[in-house]
Amino acid sequence: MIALSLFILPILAGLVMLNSPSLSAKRLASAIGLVMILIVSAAWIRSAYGITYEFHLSLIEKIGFNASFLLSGPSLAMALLTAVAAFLIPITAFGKDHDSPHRFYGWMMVMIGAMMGAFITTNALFFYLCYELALIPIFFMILKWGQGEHLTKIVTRFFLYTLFGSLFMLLSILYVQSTMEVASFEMADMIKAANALSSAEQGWILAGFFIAFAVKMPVFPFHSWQPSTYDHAPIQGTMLLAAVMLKMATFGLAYWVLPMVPQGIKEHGQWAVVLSVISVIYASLMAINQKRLKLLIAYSSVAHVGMISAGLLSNTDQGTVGGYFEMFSHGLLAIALFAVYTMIENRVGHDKMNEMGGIRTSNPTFAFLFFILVMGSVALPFTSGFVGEFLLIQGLSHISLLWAGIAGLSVILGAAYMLRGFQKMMLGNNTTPFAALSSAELWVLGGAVVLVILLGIYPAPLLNLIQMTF
Amino acid sequence: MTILLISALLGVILLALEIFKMRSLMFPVIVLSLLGILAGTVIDWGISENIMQQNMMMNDAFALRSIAILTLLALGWFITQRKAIEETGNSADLYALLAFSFCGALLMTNFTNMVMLFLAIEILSIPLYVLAASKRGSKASNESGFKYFILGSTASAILLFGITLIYGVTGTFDLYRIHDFIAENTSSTLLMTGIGMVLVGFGFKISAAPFHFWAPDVYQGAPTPITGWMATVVKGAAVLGMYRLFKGAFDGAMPALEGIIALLVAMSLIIANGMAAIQSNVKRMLAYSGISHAGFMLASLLLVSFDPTSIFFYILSYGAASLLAFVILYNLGKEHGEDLNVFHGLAQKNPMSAALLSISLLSMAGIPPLAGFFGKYFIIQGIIQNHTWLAIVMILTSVVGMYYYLKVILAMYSKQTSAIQLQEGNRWILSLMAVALMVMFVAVQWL
Repeated sequence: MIALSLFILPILAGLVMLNSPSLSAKRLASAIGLVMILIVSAAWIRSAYGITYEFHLSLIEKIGFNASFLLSGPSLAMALLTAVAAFLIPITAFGKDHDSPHRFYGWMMVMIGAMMGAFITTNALFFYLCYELALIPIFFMILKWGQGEHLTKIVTRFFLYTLFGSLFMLLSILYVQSTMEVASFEMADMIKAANALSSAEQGWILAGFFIAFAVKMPVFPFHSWQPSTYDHAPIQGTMLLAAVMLKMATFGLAYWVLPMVPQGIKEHGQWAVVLSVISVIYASLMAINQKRLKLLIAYSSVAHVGMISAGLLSNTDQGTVGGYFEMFSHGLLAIALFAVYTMIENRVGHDKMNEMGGIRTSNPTFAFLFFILVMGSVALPFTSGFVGEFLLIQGLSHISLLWAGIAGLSVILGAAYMLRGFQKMMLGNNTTPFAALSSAELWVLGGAVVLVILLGIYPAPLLNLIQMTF
Repeated sequence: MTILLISALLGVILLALEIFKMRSLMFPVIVLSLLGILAGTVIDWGISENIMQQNMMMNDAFALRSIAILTLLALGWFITQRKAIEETGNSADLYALLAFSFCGALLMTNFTNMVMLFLAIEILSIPLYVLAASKRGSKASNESGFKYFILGSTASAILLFGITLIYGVTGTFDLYRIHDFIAENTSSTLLMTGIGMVLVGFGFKISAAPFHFWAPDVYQGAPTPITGWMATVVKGAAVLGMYRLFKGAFDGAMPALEGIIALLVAMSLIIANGMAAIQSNVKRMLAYSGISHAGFMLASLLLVSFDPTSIFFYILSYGAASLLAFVILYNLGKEHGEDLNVFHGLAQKNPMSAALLSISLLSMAGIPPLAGFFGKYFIIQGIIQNHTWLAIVMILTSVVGMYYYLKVILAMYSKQTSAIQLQEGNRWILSLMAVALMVMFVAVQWL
């Protein structure tokens, strides 16, 4: 029941919020996020004593479609990230409200529930279902609260592209299932059936899954929907996309695909690694060229995710653990960096980096906190980013030193674009006035900074949690 | 037998009620009769023996489930379209014609004799020709009825010709004897020609490509409630009749037909989805999308076993989604037309209608966890082993499908201002149907 509540609570709350304009939806959403954090933390603490929460309900017995949840290891880590996002994202509105906020946060909670379901389920069809379900809320959020002239075009492209990709995942799942004697979507059965296939078949199954995930993450050359969608979505929607939604893809790769088709990855998976590494370099170069902060963060996100994908596909212990760790760390940093963007946008009125400067002089606290987040993003030692990237590159080096070296360049490129951006906005002679941070802003940034440093200095608890199933 | 009696008498009773000036009783009588039929199927639900009736029809498990599904759809239709029918002023005629057509639909699911099949198709179709032309002042409606009549009777003629050929070879109309005959001699060219002509005749009736040319014009021209009736009950009945015939009696000939049927399915999906994507009239778009759904239903003939669960579920899910869509289309269309332009900004003043239409369209597009997803899922899962290429066509065309359904949703939620204020009608029933679309997948186990 504990496991089920994580899935059902946000969805029910979201549906109620959608239909009740009188609620103060923002507070409610945050409160539910807090409750979810507590539930996950309790499960985390109890997991240390060997107690895991499971839930199993058969929905369509004939085809093996069950609502089965398991709170352990990586799922728990991702559930924590989702809960934290549900708690933090409403706060980052910072007093600015949307019109009809009950709908906005209602959709958000439905989406949180769907993503939570994808992270904690052990049924492949249920995973697919949640993976798709998460699209619908964000579709309406971008459509109603996004900005820009070509909004419908952008939303259509985003929706159709990601839907198109995930259908290949469905094909892969169905193919694996059609080789079983008794139809089942349960993880153990899926892994068993897929492992029994020839390595060429496994390669095709990997291809189906990887196309779906490559569109969602996104990985070059499937990324064309991403910058414009991130740019035109309402900023809290962008946070959801970058911090949690794309983690469904990397998580799916690590949690489902790696154990299912190890042979296929080893013998026919090189192209996926190559695409991921190209994606890292391409996105880093694009990020260097950006003039606007929002797009800079968007491209840096593509680079980080490419790194996660490449490291995971090395299919080594370091790569997998590093992948999960980096997912968590990147999720946290994405929320924090987009929150920084909101603060700048609210005060300066735009996010063109060339037209700002000297904010450090007018608000040193803000500049300091921002700087630590930048350090986390470029993976400086003693920040959470370092732990993840280090493990990922180490994992990648097991299969190819060359690719590891090229991917390692991204750290340097990352330092280049992040620091350049920071320098343009925060340093320099002309001084952009920048009002003091409100207490909510201070709490969000401060909290994120503390977590980033804490996870960098003492990553053991999270690493232990992730490794629990190994 | 009771089931058939109720449905056959319903039309007559409705006409009698008109004569005795008791119009207000009509609707309750219809609802009670349908509930009675539903109860009849539930009582016999678990029967193991098959009750033959004069070697003409048989209420076996397939027939009972089919009747229950068609009755549910009809019930949903009558409840949601009551206002639309009574607004026309000649509700008695319409109700009676619909009742006759419904009787034909039920016969389509339990025949065991080719003569019965032909009778069922005609009882189903002839009222429809009149119904399609029932909006007397409208040119489009008259054209629709006329076109439907000409092409429908051509299809019937081809079907009848096919039946004659089959009779010529086998010497019987009885499905069981035909089945045994085919099992022994599959190579008869004349027999295969006959079966092929029956396939073509049915292709017309369910509007599968390349026999679909009448469908867009007829669907668009007919009054919207009647279009809804055609898309749900009529199409469902035709597909079920086809399933009974081809998976039952013609089972022995299926290996030879599979290639052709797969081709028809692929053509329906590609042509219909392609054409739907370029329509600017939403009703016409739904007509084309109906053709693509007919393609999916036709694909159920390719399933390995006789297990009809997947086709039952598909008809139920598509039917429920269509009912919902056509109700809202009617509310909008009677004053503003059905062009895509009038949908712009509809959600601002009519959040309820927009949400319901979105749910229905998303279900038709196959977005999980709505019923339409599972409908498509069962069909694709059933054919992926033997017809992998068709499964891929299905998946690719469903992305095109998503595109045109999305166009309507995007229009409704776009930021343009719109002055249109709809009468939303019976909110509770419609919401119930939307909820049904969300949780319908649980019902698979009972089919």
